[in-house]
Amino acid sequence: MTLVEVVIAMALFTMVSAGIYSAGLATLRLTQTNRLMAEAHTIAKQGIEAVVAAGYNPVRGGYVPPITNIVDTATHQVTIVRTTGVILHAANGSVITTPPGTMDGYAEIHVQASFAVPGSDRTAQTTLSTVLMKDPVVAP
Amino acid sequence: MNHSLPKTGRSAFTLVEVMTAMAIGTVVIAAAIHIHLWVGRIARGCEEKGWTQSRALVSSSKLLSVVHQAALIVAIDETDGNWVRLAYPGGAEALLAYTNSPTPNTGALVYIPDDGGAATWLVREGILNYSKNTGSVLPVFARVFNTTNPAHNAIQIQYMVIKPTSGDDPAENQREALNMSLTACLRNYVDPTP
Repeated sequence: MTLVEVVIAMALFTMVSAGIYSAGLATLRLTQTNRLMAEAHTIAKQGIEAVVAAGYNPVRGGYVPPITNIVDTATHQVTIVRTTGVILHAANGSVITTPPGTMDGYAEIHVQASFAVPGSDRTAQTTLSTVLMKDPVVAP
Repeated sequence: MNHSLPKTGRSAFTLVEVMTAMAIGTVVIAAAIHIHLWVGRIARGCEEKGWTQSRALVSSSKLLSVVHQAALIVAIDETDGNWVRLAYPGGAEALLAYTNSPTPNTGALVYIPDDGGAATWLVREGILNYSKNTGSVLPVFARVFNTTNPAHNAIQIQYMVIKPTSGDDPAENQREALNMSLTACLRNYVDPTP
């Protein structure tokens, strides 16, 4: 076996090893992103539930669930930010900017949770939506 | 007089060649073993994270289903936050509890109806108290506060999901855990005040 053959064999082995190594890193990063996405989905779901628990009237009056920053530097070192968007509608479905004086109408709620994907410059986000309207009047 | 060895027609590797070959072989084998161990570690990590994600989805889905159907929060463990008692339309009550007994490192969530029915394990293992990096442990079940007043129609549920085989080191558990922070709204809530 000549020196050239040895060098070529080592170069091939190095390339294959580097490929396996980087594939492993990418897989690990992907699973970490999946875990963070599951947590972000939970945070968004929490926002939706908070709005549903509050009901239509407080939302009509401007209530939004507080923004939650999950900062846990000892564990995942990632901040998940939640934002809530409210779109008010009149009873006929048209979008309005000022809250209606009465309980007529409904509100679209869009809760978004986002985070910076570790090891990249991408931002991942998940959005959940629901519609809130006046509670039905229950006959006594 | 000629003292040189008789030529046999066979050639051999020199000591330098053998040493070089052994050094190269050692490096290649060490690299191959390292890659083998690395891939195994990655595979285990992926398997554990997959397990925690699956368990997180199942647990949150079951918890939300149980709480959504409730009509009233009868009582809640204000001290440790390990249980909440819920009432359902029709008057039936049930206890929703977190327990880390008998194995402290792999807790469970259980649903115990008051009507004598069998207890249902929502999740049998892999649940732990949500512990922040300051070391403080958060309650699993807690009241939700809208501004300063407690909301009577929603509860806060927080826990970590971690595969029990990941080891008993709390710091390791926290690194590998999937943190769950849920709010569950009682869809059948009825204001008990007349």
